[in-house]
Amino acid sequence: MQILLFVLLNLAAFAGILSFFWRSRNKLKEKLERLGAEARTFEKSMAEIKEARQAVYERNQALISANKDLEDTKVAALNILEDLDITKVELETINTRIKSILASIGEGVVAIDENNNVIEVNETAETLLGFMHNEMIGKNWLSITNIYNADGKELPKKERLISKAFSLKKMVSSGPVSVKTTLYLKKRNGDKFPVYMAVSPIFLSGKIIGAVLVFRDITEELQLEKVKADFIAIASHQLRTPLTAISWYTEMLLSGDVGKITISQKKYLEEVNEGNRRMIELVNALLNVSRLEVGSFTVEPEQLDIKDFAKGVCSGIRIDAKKKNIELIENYGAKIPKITADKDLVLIILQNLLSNAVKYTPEGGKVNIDISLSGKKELLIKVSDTGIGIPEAQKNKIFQKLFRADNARVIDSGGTGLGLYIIKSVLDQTTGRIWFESVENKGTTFYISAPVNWMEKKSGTRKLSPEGGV
Amino acid sequence: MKIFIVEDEAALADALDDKFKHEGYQTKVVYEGGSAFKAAKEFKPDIVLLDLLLPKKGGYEVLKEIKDDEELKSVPVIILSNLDTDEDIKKSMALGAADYFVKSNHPLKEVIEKVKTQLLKAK
Repeated sequence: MQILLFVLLNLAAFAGILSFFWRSRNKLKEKLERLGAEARTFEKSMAEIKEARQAVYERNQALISANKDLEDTKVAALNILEDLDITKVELETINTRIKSILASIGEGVVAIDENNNVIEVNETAETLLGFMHNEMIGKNWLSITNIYNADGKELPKKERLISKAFSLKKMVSSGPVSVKTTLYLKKRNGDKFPVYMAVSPIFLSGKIIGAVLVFRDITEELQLEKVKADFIAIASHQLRTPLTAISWYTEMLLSGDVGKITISQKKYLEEVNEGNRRMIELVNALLNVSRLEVGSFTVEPEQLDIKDFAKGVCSGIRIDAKKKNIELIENYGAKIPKITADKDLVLIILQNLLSNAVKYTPEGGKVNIDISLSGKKELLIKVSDTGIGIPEAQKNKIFQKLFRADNARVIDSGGTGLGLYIIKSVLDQTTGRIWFESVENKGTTFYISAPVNWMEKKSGTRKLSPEGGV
Repeated sequence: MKIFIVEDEAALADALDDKFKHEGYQTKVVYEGGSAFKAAKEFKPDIVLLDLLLPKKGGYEVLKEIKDDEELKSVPVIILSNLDTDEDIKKSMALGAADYFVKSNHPLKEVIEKVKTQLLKAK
């Protein structure tokens, strides 16, 4: 029993031990399983950490790169700022220079944008117009002042120089837009003063972005011109009065009003009359020269049929040509449009050239006049003769005032030497040109070229006087 | 026909006077502007030849006096002057002159023709 009990006790103890070991095994197993799970978790965490580290590394690299970029940008920005500082200084220098230049200009200068708003104005313009600088900047130029012609009428918008300058389609190098007539600007107080004005458009990338107006007060110039013109008027009056007396009295003697005259007396009186006629012609020619040089001659252009007009001039010249048995041949090109020109000036030109041609062509010779169009808008007048020609050594002097070629003096001692000078001066002042070809003892050809729209209206004291005058 | 001549240059005035008398006209010459209008009123001319630069009273004033006068305003006035500016010509025509001649540029026979033409127009 005891043994059984013992065995039983031992069995119980063994069972207890077994149970203990079993429980311990299970616990151990659980622990091992837990450990395994933890180990897997740890591995996962480690992988995540690695990834995270990689991400951090990459981010760090990106930050380093970004930082470097920032550094570069900073350096670049600093460089730009430095450049801007330099540019600012340069701009200030340029600005100061421009302001100094503008301030020192005796003409009024106003810069406007494409909407006519004033963007810059110099001191002379302020003084001339009577406005302060800030009263004009940003204001519309057309609201600041008005512009008038010599008759006191406000200039129509399309005739204003700004409109003309803005209407230029492309960049041109022909200089500013201006007019030859006197214009008047209105001051702040309403007074008007005469100006010479020129307007230049400002081009940027082929587009007009504004204009610069330059104007000068010409009150004193006009006064001076008036003094000169008055002097010419009085001088011409004084010169003409005794010549008129000689002319009229010889005319009365020649007509027998005071009794019959002998053949010799008639011959002498005719010489007096002819000398007097030449003197009157010379006075008229000198007055023309004076008015051309002073610029005080009037130009009144009209639409002129040059072909009909030249025919009329030729019919007058033909009388002298017939006396010398000279053939006067006229050739007119087809489709010559009407030209814009002052007929008195065209008369002076044609009459001088044709009468010279007849005068310096020997008997039985030929004189030709050809009028044609060169291109679409250029008039070409050609007057040629089979005359004495111009000596080679004197060709360069032919347009000089009072010059007469040696061979011309032999034929006609009474010429004034002013005809070609007057023609050249007229053409120089009306956008025309003259040139010639000549061979001594064979003949001369004079060429005149001028635009179809040849002459612009110009005010003055007097039109140039063709022979005979008023 | 009566021609009234206002001309300060005696040589020219006498030439005109002689020539028109020779042509059968009745003439009256005044050598300065001051008395011209009064003399014209008394003379009652058919035509007036008037210089511009005159002593005492200028030609423009004389022209204005004539054109402002009821009795004389229809009488044609021809300006005979050696002034030749556009301003003088325009001013004369604006004041009522019938024509303008620059003396040195025209022989006497042309002046006579011009007077005859104006007298025919005035009829």
